[in-house]
Amino acid sequence: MAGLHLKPRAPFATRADLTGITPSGLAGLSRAEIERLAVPHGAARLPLAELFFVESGPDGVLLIEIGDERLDHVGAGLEAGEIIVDGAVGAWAGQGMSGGVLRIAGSAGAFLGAEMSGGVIELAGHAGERAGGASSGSRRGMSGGLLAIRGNAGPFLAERQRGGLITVGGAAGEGLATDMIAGTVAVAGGAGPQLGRGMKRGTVLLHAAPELPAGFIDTGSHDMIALRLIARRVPELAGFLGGATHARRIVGDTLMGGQGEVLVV
Amino acid sequence: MRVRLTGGRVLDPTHGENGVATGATRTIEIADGRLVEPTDLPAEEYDLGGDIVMAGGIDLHSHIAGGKMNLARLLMQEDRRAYPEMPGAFCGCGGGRASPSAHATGCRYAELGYTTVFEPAMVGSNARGAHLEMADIPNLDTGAYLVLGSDDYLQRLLATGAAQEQINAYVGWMVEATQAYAIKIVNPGGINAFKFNARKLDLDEANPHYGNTPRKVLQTLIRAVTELNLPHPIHLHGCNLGVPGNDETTIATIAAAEGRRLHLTHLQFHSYGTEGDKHFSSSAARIAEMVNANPNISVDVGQVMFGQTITASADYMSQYRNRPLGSPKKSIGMDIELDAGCGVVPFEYRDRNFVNALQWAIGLELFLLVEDPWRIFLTTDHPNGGPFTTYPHLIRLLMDRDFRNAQLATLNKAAQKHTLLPEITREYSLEEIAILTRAAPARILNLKDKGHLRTGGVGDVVVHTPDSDAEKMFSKARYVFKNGTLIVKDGEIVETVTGTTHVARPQFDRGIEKDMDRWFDEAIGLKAKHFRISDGELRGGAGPTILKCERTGS
Repeated sequence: MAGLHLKPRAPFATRADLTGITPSGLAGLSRAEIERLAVPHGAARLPLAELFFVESGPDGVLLIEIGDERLDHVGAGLEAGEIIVDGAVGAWAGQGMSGGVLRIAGSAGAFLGAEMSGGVIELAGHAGERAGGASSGSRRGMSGGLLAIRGNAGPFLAERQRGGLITVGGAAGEGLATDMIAGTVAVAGGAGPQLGRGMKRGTVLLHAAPELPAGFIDTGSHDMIALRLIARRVPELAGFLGGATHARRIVGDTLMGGQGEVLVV
Repeated sequence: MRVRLTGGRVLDPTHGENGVATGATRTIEIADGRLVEPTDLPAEEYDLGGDIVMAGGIDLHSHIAGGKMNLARLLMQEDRRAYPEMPGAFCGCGGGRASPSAHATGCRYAELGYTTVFEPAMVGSNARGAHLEMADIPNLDTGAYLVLGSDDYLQRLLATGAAQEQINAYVGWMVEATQAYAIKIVNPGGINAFKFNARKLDLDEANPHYGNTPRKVLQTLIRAVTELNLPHPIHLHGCNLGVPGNDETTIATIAAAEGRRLHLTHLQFHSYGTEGDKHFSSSAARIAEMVNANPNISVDVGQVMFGQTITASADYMSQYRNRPLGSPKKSIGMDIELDAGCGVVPFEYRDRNFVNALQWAIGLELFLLVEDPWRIFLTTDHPNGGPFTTYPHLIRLLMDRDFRNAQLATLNKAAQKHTLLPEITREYSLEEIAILTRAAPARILNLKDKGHLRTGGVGDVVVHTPDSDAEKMFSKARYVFKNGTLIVKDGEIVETVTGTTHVARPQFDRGIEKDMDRWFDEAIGLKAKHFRISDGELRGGAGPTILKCERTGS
């Protein structure tokens, strides 16, 4: 696809839904067809060109200027290519994406990267609730890929996460990794209360021991070779782990089998 | 407003009219919601060009309202996600397929040409909610069968040897109080026995607490509805649903009716033998033979259709058994105190699974081996065997033997060896389908102005364009008129109208009221007068359509 450049004509008065507006979704469409694409806008549907100035841009890239916190489903179902947003996005950004890159310069609403199975999301701002989680009608959250949040994450980050890696530069809200099935979350800035309730497997990496529910058991500090291996093999975690050799390992939720872990490094 | 349909070939089995066979066309005219003799007065005219005209479809067993359907909707967000609300300017219907919203229920049914649907399992304590929900279903007339048999009041009456008169009075009071149309028995006394830790209850097994057998519950209630002269016979979901070897129970149950009228519902789930390596086999031939030999028996099939659905039943004894088979793995079980129970288990019927494939075949065997189309009804026990939106596919399976056998050939191999299906040559005719889906349900429900197209009938008229592919033909009706209003055109909803709710009003001994007041005060903690649903609460104040039951015997 020749690249596309979208610029909102005005701040959005109601929620708009960009489902399907991805590089592969637009492939093979002419400019006129793209401008006529029906975008759900509140209870109605409007042509894309009525909401955005549509221009050509660099190849393979969909650039959304300014952004808007009422712009939902940006990059939902992304399979390949790149989407860059200059500002904020609404809910369900990158939902169910399986490949490609989604870069967001501002903050994101709820369900960022929910149920994503591959690809990369880079968020410069803060994420709303249930990033990497499962939205209604799905029993599994994110199952693969990388979700990198530079700011803070809202409540219930990684709820029912099934795989993949989430990194948070700031802090995470309450209920982090609730009902987590598998996967990894690293939070540099501390986590809120009620972490890991119902966690089956998976790993939560933190710098300070959090407040944990009753189902967690502290197994003390261990010399873990795995930490050095991970730091070498997973560049996204290298900065977080530094040269750590030891971690305090707290396992849980024992009510769900206790194969999950919180590693304090 | 007057509507005139010209040039249609009329299929009205109630009066033996078969325009499809004779090629004769007849003008149908509707004025003020009723069928009238054709006139020359100005009217909205439709030239049907030889298309087939039938009365609106009637589904006598489909779970469309009540507490369990709301639980099913809550449990199955997957359903709403897989079948979201349809886009389009007109119909903000909500979504769902196995557990559709009330609005979607009415619209999807109307698109198939159905105009009347009965909710077959309303428990007394949920009756008010069920009626409010039915009022929200557009385009359909409704009615509900009240679940009795496992309620503690009746069990107590039976245990203390109360006279039939007293039981009749109780049944009559309950039908009136809950605005019901008929009596449903779900696993007679079994739901109650479950609460006293029984995990199965055969026809002659005593309830561990009250000592009553299902046979006693069944026979007493059959007598009650006969003596109260309710329009529909006992609607029975028998013992041992889904258990291999329940064919014996079913045959014993037919015998237990002792010649009185009895409707066996979702019979497919009650026709399992124990032959073969897997100890699961079809007894459809045996059961069908019993049904053929007993003209007092009517049945609906409860056909299994492959795919994702959800099962919702008051029979928590069987749902408790089925919980581990649920897919996705989650379920709801509830005690409806002093009344019944409720179990909701999502289910995916798979064509590669031996049991599911054989269930599919057993249902079709029943359809094809029960000879009298006036005593068998087309149901999937929506949503328990499959959503009602699969009816057109099911109709094609019945009408097209080659299609049926081709489908069978794709199923689980072991199951194919256990079914008679390839040897059955019967194909349903269009007339027989019309009997199964409208004329016969109207007759068994005693709805005299429905299911036919003669003067005086309700103006529920459906027009289908003939097609050699019956599935295509029945998927989208060309026109559907509800009380004379065009609601579906070319398979699309063009209007939503409000239906009515059918209720039966038996006469009974009012002396029971004092005892009911006391029972509600002492045991239920709700005044009996608050339990009773007034006419004005139905259909947003419009009230029900009442069928008065004249008392005959005593």
